[in-house]
This record gives sequence, structure tokens and C-alpha cells, in this order.
Amino acid sequence: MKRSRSFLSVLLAGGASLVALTAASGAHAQDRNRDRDRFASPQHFALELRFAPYRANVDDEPGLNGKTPYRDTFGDDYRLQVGIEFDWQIVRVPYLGTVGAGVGVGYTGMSAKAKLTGTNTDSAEDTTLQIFPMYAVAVLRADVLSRNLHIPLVPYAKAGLGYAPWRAYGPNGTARTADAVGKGQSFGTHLALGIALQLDVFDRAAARDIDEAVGINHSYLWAEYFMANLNNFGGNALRVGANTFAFGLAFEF
Amino acid sequence: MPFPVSSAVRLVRVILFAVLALVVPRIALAQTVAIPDNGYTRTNGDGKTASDRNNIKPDVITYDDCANDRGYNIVVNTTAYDQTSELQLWAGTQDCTNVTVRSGSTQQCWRAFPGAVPRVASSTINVKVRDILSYAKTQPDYVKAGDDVCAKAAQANITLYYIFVKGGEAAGTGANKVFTVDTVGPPAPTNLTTGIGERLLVVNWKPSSETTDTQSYNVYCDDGTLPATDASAPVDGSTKSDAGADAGVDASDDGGDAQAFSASSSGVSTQANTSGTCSSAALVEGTVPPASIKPCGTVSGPAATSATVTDRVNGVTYAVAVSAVDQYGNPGPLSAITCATPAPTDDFFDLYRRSGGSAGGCNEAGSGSISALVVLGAVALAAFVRRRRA
Repeated sequence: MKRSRSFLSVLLAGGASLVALTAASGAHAQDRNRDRDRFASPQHFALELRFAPYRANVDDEPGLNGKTPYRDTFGDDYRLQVGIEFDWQIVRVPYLGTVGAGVGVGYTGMSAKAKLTGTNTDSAEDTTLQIFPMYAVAVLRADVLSRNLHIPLVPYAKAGLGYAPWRAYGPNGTARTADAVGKGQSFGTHLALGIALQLDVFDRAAARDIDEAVGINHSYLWAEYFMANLNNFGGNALRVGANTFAFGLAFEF
Repeated sequence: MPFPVSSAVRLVRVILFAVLALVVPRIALAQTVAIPDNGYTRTNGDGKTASDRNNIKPDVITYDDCANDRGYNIVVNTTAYDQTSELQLWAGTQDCTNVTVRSGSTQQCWRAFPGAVPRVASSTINVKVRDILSYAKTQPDYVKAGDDVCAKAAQANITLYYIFVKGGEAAGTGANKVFTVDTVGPPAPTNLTTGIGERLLVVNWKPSSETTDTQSYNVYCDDGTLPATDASAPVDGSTKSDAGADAGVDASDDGGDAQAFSASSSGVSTQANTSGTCSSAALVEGTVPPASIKPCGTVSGPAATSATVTDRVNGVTYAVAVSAVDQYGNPGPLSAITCATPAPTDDFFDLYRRSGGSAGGCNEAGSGSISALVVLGAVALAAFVRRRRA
């Protein structure tokens, strides 16, 4: 009995020590966060470097009646879209995150050999479609997880308008038919849902140094799914938008 | 009897006079030759100024100069031109002032100008490029039998010597001029293929093996209307009697032995992306294209591997060949001949419109939308800067 009481007291003492250590650690972490918030530079903007596999929705145009000129020319392969997005984090909503406005610009292009008329044989002539996807969106970045729960993930959503000038090229410059020139612009909606992994957790000291040196508060690796539905809201448009994933780096500053 | 002082003085005077009589005339009569600045003017075969060659350095002789029988008008200024000597022009890669290389079995220099420079203080003579290169010309004494004049010199330096010759010996020289001579173009490209498009040809090749000398590539197209090239004629444009027996081109740029090339391009087999068969009387594989045939396309860069030739006619079969061109504009021998017939194509926009797509055309409204985005970005940037400063 005496022996079991002794064991219990040791167990309690150990548990108390563990709780004390955990509490101290949590308090220390909270102190760190407070220090960080206290000494962090102001944060109002975000910049994204964007990369996306891109396959335009050209063949979805109802007027094509199921024909697939895009796939027939460029195939099913995805092309790389590169882009950049700049966000202004206008409002911080407590226990949620930031709400702001963003604009993005990008570029993608696809080339293939033109077919000999009436055949499926490639000629030696290149045919190219260049697209400059752009958008203006409202952005919600829910950084409550990282700020208050120490989970380094930031879900976000974007919604707004998309716009994309495009141009088709043949060997002699802009493509032409008897009644049209191969260039124009398409617009529509732009929606995106994504999640960002905050990189600060991997080296908080380095993150603090970067903030002090250049004013970058947080760095992220992110991935999102976006839908650029550039159909002129149902009008005639070359549907150069895409529904696809994107990924890249982001910086808040 | 003592020798009188006055006699001794007189003797010294006589000796001095004799010495002066021998030396002074030589000093006073020393012959000199000089070429003024800009004393060399490149001329066409007719002796008139070749204004179209201004982009080539004056002291560089190319295949084009030789094939077109160009020359130089040279202003020659002399002083004390001795009536008993001749001012001769010799050319060679050796020191031509040495009589042993100007005559006999050891001769390695050659006369670059027939006769002597006129005995006047200043004269203008016309020296033919082909005479400067005549070490390969069919003439007695300094002949390499069978060599043609124009197609043998690959990056050689030939010096033009102005020598006062008296009794066979050099009695003075000066104003020597070194010419850089390169009349041989790079080797022909290989693996030629010609693809087709809408009123165009896309020509691909493997670059010439001698990329250090290659500066560009000329593409030649014959729709059957180009004048025939006389494959038996020398490629240097000289007369047959000048050219000797070898009608081929030494395509190896190392000065090696001349090669004979096939002169026929008929019945060329089709290659990948190449259509039909054809024949060309103008384009002959392995020969330097005549200057009278203008290229249908040119692409710069020694590593170029492709050229697109536009403004062709659909349905017309073209014989196509490529020649590499060196830094002095010398075209090398033609590649193998391929045949191709441009045909209509459907690019993406053609297919889209034909499939029922209705987009396209010029809509300037787009620029306004772009401007709006740019302005939005600028406003955001300005706000950021203001906050950072605050």
C-alpha cells in the first residue's frame, strides 16, 4: 500500500511537471507570437507568383456544335501558364482573416503544326494561339488558423471578373480568314479556391529576419483550383479561359 | 724633298670629290614608291568603281571579286623613277624582293600587273584581282596546272610587292600591301529537308561542319524557270581555257585537293516532309551557285538550322538547295537538292471559324480594359508605397 501510494505520488509529480512544461512551452509560444506581432512590419499586400497547367475551353463554345478545333489543332496536352497576382488586403476581419482586392495577369501560348487542308497531315507551318489571362477579384484569406491556432494553413477564396486578350498566329503573322482577323478578347467570371502553406514555421528566425530586412511578413506555398469562365457572359467569345489547378509562391508584406 | 702641304690638301680635296661624286648622285636619285591613303579603289570588271562592295574591307579579296573579274585602281606615286629600271608589281606569299623566288625553278611569286608602272610621278593603274591570285592561273613559269583561279584560296595572305627591278635585281621596294584572300565558302549543309505550308517552304538542314567560318545560309528555290547552270563551266566564272580540267569545287576549306561533284539534280528522291520529284537545271549539288541566281531566303548565324521561305505559289514544285556563306560573303557549294510543293493549310483560326466559331476581328475596346487593370494595379502600388513611408 505504501508502495502504491509512492508510485501514485511519483506519477502525479510527473504529470504535474509535464503540464507545467507544456504550459510553459505554450506560454513561451504565445509570448513569441506576441513578440512577433509586436515587432512585425505592417501587412497590407500579397504577391503571388503563379504557374498553372492550361488547356483553354475553346471547344466548349456552343456554336461549334461539338466540333473541336482547339483539340484538333493543339491536342489534349496542357500548356504552362505563368502569371503574377497582386492583392491589396484592405480589411482585417478579427478571427477570420483579410479581405481585399486583387489583380492578376498571366500568359500562356500553344503552338502546333497546321494541317494540310482536308487532311490530318501536319504541314511545316506553325500555328499559334497566345492568351493573356487577366482578372480583378475580391480575395478572402482566412489566416485565422495560422494566427490563432498555430496551424500553418491559410484557406482562401477569390471571386471576380476575368478578361483575356488573345491572338492567333500563322506563319505570316496574325491569322486571318476571309471575314475575320484572328485576335480579340474574351471576358467572364473568375473564381478560385485554394489553400496556402505558411513557410514561416520551418524557420521562424529566418522569417523574422526577412520581415526585418525587406518587410515580408509571411511566405507561402499555395495551390488552388480556378475557373476562368471567359464566355462573354453567354455571348460570342473564343473561350480562352480554363478550369484548372494552379500553384506557386506567395508573399504577404 | 718634302711633300708640299698644298699638294696634300689638293689630294684630299680630289678624294673627297671622287667620293661625293659617287655617293651624292645615289642619294639624290634613290627611287621611292608610295601609295597614298585610300589609294586602293575596288573596281568592277570594266574598271569602274565597284560601289556595291563597300561593305567588304578594301584589303579582302573574295570569290565574288574574282568571279566578277574585279580589280583595284591603285594610285602609284614615285620619285626619282630611274629610266634604267622598271617598277614592277609582284605578288606572293614569300618575300618577292628576293630574285630567287621571282624566277627559275624556285619561283614562287608572280607578276600581278603586266609590264611596268608608267615612269611618271603619279599614275593610276588597274590591277586585276585574278592577277593577284594568279599563282593558280594557267600561265608559264608559275603555273599549277589544272587549278582554277578563283576557287582555291581559303584564308590566305598574299602580299603585293612594288619592286624597282634593274637587271633582274631589286633596286628598291616599298609600299607593300597585304591582301587577305578567301574565295572558298564553307562546306555544304547536310540532311536537307523541305517542309511545306500555305504559300511557303520550311527548309531544315544540319549546319555546315565548319561553323567558325560560316556566317549565314542562303536558300535557293527553282520553280523550273531559273537559267541553266553550265555544270561543265568552271565555278569561278573564268573561261574554260583558264580553268583547266577541273570543273568542280573544293568544298573542303582546308585547301585540300579539288573534288568533283555530281552535276545532276534530276530525279531527286523525296524525303520526309518533302513532296514530289523535280529537276533543276540551275541548282547543281556540290557546285557554288552562280552570282546570277539570287537566293529566295537568307538566315544569319553559323548554327542556323532552318529558314522559312514565303511568297511561294501553291501547287508549284520547287527544287530547293542551301549554301553556307562565310564571313566574306563567299557562298559554299550547294547542298543536296530537295523538292517541295506548297499547299493550302488550315491553321487554328481557320479551323475554328470553319467549325462555326464566331469570335475574332479587331475590337479596340480591349485596350481600355487592359488600361483599367493597369490603373488598378498602379493605385494599389501607390497605396502600398504611401503606407510604407508612413
